[in-house]
Amino acid sequence: MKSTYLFPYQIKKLSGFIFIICFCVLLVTTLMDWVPSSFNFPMFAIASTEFLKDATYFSWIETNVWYDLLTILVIISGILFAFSKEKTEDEYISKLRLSALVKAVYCNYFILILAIFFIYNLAFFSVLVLNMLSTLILFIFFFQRELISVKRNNS
Amino acid sequence: MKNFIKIQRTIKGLTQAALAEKVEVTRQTINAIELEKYSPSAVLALKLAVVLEVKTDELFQLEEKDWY
Repeated sequence: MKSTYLFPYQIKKLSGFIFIICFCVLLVTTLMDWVPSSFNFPMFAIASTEFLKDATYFSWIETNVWYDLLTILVIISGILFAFSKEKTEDEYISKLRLSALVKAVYCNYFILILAIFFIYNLAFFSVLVLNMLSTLILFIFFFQRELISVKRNNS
Repeated sequence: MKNFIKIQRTIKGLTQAALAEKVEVTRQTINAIELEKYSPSAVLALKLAVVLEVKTDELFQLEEKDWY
């Protein structure tokens, strides 16, 4: 079965490795609330609102891009890992992939609804940040779990 | 949907891996079809019938529950 929307199998291992490393670094630096000061750069902002200041639009701002770079790396490597072909692709693998994607979306929005009910004020900002990555992470988890389960049942 | 792939495969003396290679899928797919965990596409069903040298309706049988 030909899947035109998947990346080549050859990038799976490398993208998976980069994804795990960058995700761990992002998690640790977020929990420790640490950013390296050498990542301060002027950046062009379409919209920006600093604390206790008015919003500015289409302007250059001085900001630390550590979290931005890490998040972009996590997203890109995660997408490359999640949506690269398996060693042998066929219609059953495609069905497992679709099933995992649907489960990930349902699970993600269920957790988000719970968060809307039980988490408030500034703490909810953390929920929104995590929500950027949660669908992708859940999909990777569900799909890999299905593949391992199938391989285990067949051995 | 009921299938008789295992029976026909055994008659032809083919392993799951050998059949999988002939129809260009993984062994896991053949196993999932035989265990009725997965219904193959029309193309795969026809390929299986050609390789096992039987008619498609001798290989697959609709059940009552497939109508709902």
